[in-house]
Amino acid sequence: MKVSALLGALLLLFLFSGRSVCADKVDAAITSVSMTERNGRMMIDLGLSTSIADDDTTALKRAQAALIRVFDVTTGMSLGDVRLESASGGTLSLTVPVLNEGDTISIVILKLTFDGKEAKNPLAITTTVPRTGQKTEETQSSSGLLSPGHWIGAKGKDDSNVYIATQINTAIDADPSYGIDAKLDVPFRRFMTGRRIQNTGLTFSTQISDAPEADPDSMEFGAYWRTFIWDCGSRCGTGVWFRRLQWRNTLQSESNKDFSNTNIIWPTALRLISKTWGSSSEFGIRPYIGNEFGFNLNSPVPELQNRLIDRPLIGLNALLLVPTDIGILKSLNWETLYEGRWPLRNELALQENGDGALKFMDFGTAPRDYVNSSLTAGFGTYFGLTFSYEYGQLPPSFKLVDNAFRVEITFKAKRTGGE
Amino acid sequence: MLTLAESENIVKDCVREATRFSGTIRSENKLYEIGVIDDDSLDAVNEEITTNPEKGVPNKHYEIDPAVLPTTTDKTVAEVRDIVQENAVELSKSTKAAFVRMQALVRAAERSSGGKRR
Repeated sequence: MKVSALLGALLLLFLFSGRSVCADKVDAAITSVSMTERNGRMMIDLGLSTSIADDDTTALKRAQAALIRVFDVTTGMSLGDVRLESASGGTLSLTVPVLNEGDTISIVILKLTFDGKEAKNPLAITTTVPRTGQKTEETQSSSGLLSPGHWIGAKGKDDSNVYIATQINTAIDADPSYGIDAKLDVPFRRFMTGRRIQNTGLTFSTQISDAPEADPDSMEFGAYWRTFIWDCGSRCGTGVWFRRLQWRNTLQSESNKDFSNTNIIWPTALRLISKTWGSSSEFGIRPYIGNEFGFNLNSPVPELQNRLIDRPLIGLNALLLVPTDIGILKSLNWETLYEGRWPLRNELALQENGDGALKFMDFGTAPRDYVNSSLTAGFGTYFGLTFSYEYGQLPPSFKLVDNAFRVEITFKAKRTGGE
Repeated sequence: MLTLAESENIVKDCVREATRFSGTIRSENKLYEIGVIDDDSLDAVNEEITTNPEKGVPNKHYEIDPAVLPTTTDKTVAEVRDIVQENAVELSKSTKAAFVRMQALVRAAERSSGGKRR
């Protein structure tokens, strides 16, 4: 009996998987299953990777038109009394007569359409009836959850755990040269304080180049902490632009590439998080205000060593995301960052000679601006091509990047959190 | 245990609450396709799922560890739904009672502040 039930399930799978593959089919699979005993029957809750329909009524009609079979592999029975209870979005609920704990069942769904399109492969899952108080464990599925803690592609520099960009630079009055823009982010386990999630981790970033006119010459390493401190909740209508206020703090060292100018800094900033405008193209802005407070550890000018540093700052981050799926082109991102710093105490602005030696350009509390605008075309999962424009000065050396245009080949990856 | 349909509604409602995304949200959509454009908006979605008393898991008298929620905007709605369903834990009776009292207080405060505004 057990063998015949398995053979029946396999025969159904074979018959329908052997059909000619139509181009107008969707990738759909059962991704999760849970079972609970309710009102003298066993309720089987199925999660699908794709929505059956946008509204519940249509989803239920489509599910009713499908062919749903449940086989008890342990007893070798095909269950006759299978009732469809509900269907909505990408979920479907069935009830069957109560099953024995530890029994293995196989669920096969045929002719279920997703917005009128059939699934490329028959939907099937094999699972074990859980013991009381235990969770359902799926043993075999046509697809499953992503395995925990692995690497995937990221959207942009801000979104990456590992980001490496190699550049070919051209700038006014400068020969083409090469540089590196890299970032490493190691997030720690998130935790709650009150009703706020706390995000912490370690971060390292560097922007260096061998071009005297296009070298931000900035390296940062430190520990960060960020959390929301305000949200407008359900009181805000759709017209409200800014919905949350985030507080970001970092304790970091900032230095130039040969560590001849190093500061220990506590940057703190309050960032407003906007809603997302658009649906096919998405746009968001993050204005912020903050302060960078710290002291100099070593400086090319002995008189400036160990002096306090205090720089109020304002900034704006704007992001436009256009998800696409044209061949290998998977996305187009435009990201612009503006930062303005007003040193309250005298700070250096250095410039590199042609032979690599540093020379003074400025000394004082003059405002220091920085702008970076980039357009990234994402190819495949990890790689992209970025065209960027950069102007301004970054701490600690505030070397002027003089209208640098860059073409970068980027590698962006993000580690999933082991969910 | 939360049902998968409840979990999917929680995820969709929390994405809308955090980003005010105006388009249709489907199970197969990746988060970055439905308004979760960066880490900041992902943090906001995760916080809505964890703490929002009207749209998040607390509304169903459940709680969830924020560490299990997505760290990347490449996840699909279906994947986040499965994470929520798998990891949401029912509140204890005493916590549930305290939460119901808190919800009642919040609603009463909202009613009175709304009345004053009118």
